[in-house]
Amino acid sequence: MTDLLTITGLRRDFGSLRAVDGFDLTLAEGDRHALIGCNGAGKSTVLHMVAGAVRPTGGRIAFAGTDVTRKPAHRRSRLGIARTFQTPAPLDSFTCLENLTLAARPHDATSRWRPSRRRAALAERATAQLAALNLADRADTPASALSHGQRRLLEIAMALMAGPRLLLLDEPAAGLTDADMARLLECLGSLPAELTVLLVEHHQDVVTAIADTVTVLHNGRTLTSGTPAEIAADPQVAEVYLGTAA
Amino acid sequence: MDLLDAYLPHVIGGVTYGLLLFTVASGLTLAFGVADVLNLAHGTVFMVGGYAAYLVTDGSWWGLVLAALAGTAAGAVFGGALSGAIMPLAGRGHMMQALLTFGVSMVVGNLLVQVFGSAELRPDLPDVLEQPVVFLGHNYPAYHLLFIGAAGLLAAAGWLVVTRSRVGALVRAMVDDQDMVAALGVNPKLVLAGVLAVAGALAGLAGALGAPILGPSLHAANTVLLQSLVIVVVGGLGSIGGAFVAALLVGQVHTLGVALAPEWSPYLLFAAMAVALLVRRPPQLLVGGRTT
Amino acid sequence: MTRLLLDTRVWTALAVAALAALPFAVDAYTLSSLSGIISLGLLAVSVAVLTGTAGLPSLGQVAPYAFGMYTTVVLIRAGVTEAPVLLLASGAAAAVFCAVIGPAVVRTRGVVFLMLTLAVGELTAQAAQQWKAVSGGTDGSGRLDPTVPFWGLEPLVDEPAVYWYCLAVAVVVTALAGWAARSTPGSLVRGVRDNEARMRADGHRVGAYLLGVFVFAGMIAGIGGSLLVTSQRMVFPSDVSFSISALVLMAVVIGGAASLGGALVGAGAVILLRDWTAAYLPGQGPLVLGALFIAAVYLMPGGLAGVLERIGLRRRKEAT
Repeated sequence: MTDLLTITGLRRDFGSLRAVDGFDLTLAEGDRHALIGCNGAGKSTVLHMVAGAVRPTGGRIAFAGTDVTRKPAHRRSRLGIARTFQTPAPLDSFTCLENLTLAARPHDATSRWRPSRRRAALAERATAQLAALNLADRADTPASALSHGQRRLLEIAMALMAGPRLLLLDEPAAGLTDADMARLLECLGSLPAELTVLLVEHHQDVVTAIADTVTVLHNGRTLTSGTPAEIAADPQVAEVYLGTAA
Repeated sequence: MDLLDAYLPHVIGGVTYGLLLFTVASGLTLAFGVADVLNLAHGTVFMVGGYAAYLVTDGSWWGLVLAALAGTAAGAVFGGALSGAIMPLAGRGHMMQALLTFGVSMVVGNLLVQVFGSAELRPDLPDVLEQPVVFLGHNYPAYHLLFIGAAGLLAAAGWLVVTRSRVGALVRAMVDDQDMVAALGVNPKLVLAGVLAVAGALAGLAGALGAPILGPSLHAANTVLLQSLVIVVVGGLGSIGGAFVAALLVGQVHTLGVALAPEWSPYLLFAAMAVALLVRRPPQLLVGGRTT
Repeated sequence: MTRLLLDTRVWTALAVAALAALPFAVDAYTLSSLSGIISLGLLAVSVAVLTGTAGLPSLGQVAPYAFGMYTTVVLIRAGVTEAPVLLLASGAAAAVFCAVIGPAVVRTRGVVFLMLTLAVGELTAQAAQQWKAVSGGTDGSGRLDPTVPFWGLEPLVDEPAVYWYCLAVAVVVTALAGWAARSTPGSLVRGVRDNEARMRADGHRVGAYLLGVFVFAGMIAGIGGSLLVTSQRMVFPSDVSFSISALVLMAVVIGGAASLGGALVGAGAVILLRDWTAAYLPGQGPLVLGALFIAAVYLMPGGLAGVLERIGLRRRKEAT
């Protein structure tokens, strides 16, 4: 199995603060990997650098054989990297269906010289995606009217519309109610098997349910890596978290 | 060497004008960096300072000192009043602030012109300062050289306050993270009033001390505002150090432009601003600064 | 029947019909002013497109307006007076100007964008005064030949003819702008306005979209500038001064930033007030205008469109 994502020596400085200090990670197709650590450990920064929202100060990010270290976000999207944001970011003045069709546009292969056919194809895919996430009844609701949990799901749907090979999730469980959490886990559980997922998360349940491997970050560097069970049992990790439930 | 010599008066003039602009622009930078306020009435505050100087100077040195104080005080009062006008607009965005302050500038500016007339009103300076002084082979009005000294001292003092004092540290913290300061329990209304009063004081002082160089008028207010905006953008929104460098640059470009190619001088400034925006991402020169 | 009364399109059609009937009701002098107002109305539409659809509040649309205006001046002086050429060339000149400065301007957002466009507007006003060869300086362009609506037709000399021409062009251009806003390009730009980071993450070329809307809005302004030359037949640098920019922005605020029709109505209201002040309170123009700005900012958060929404007479289209 060829490697999909290769991160070597990733570094990011903010003035005199070294937020990420030499981070390495290799992911193959279908891998599910979680980055955990205290606030300020650098995990979100790593994700942002892979997504293209933050420029690395040093190091290299390769995706599907291409060096994407300096590529802008929209180019990465076209290569197959999709992401969600920590605060769900759907487009508020559009309906759920419109959000998905807009998200799909840059990736749709239907000829742009046949607008009505294109529109139909996009709408069909969007409707199917909404149904897959149990949001079919919200197709014509403006995104601004959705609950926080629904907005989170909508955003994941938007990311999936691109047919990505790598999905970056930034704290998907943040701010969710128990009911929302159940729906999120259902959604993440039904992701295509060949989709690689890299997520940053604080919530243990999500990490245990989704991730095959976990990396613990501390002070911008990898502390340790392993399966969720290994990490949960690691005394060094518990110490670093200082009392956070292991 | 001769070429340099020929341009020296313009360069010195550029420094004079640049320091004048810096005093004004530092106020605008402060208002934007700390209180997130876009104040298009800032040029009008400059006018107020200039008129205050005209009213108070009487040819004596003491009159000059009083003029500086009067300009500063008038500017501070105007600034504080503006904060009251802007407070109800909280959360409605910069365009509303821009429109409101622009409206204020139109009303106040035209009232001032109606009271004082549109003729240029020069303040009454002590005789000694009206004399030309020889410096490096050229004649300069003595006042200009005094102004360079005074403005330079002011800039240095300001730098020390911003970088070395507790107030300065608080100011820099607020530029970096406005929410954090709110969490510290500081009353936002007081902060807004204080910042705009200080910004106004700086503009008023510049207007008063700068009146012999650039007298109060609607055109001057407009020019100063526009050039200050360029300085704030090029210097890094909220960066005082950046504003200083930018102000000297803008002063030079403007003065040399007017001397060498009057038809092109407006574009030189815009081109400089565009280049600055294109070359740097995000805009930051020396101390701090915010990205939009 | 109530459905019909509440439909914006019905009201728009009625308004256009009423405007078209005006030459039978008012005198030539008023018509002449109205033609000038229509020109500024297109400038207001240009601002509304940028501010409402793209969320980029611009204080400098008077720049492409000036480009359009002076392109028409130069062409008429050279003997070219046919309307299609004038309109196309003016729109194109303005569009090219925006295409040149666009890449730099459109990288910025919020305050920086405001300040940049303010600088562009101001600089254009200064340039118009200084470039005497084209603008004639404060003396103005001098009397210009009338516009010919099409090859073989009579030149537009009568006020009603000039007025209908301006009205027709404005209606077509505004309809085009409205159509574009409602179709795919409009959605893409509104998406950027709603959440730029999300759009980028989905693979959209945000910079290109914004440049496109910037150029499109510039073209609208340029055509508006050409209309001014046709209607006044003499133009001055004061026609592209910064206070015109501010006036037009005020019109858009009054009309409601996202509404193109509101922008036109707002332009009318603001210009009429300015002219009324000039007639009855001479010299107090800037004072009254400034007071109007202040009042509008405090009293009308959503502009006229917002007021109408609250009364229920207007469908709430989307969040501004």
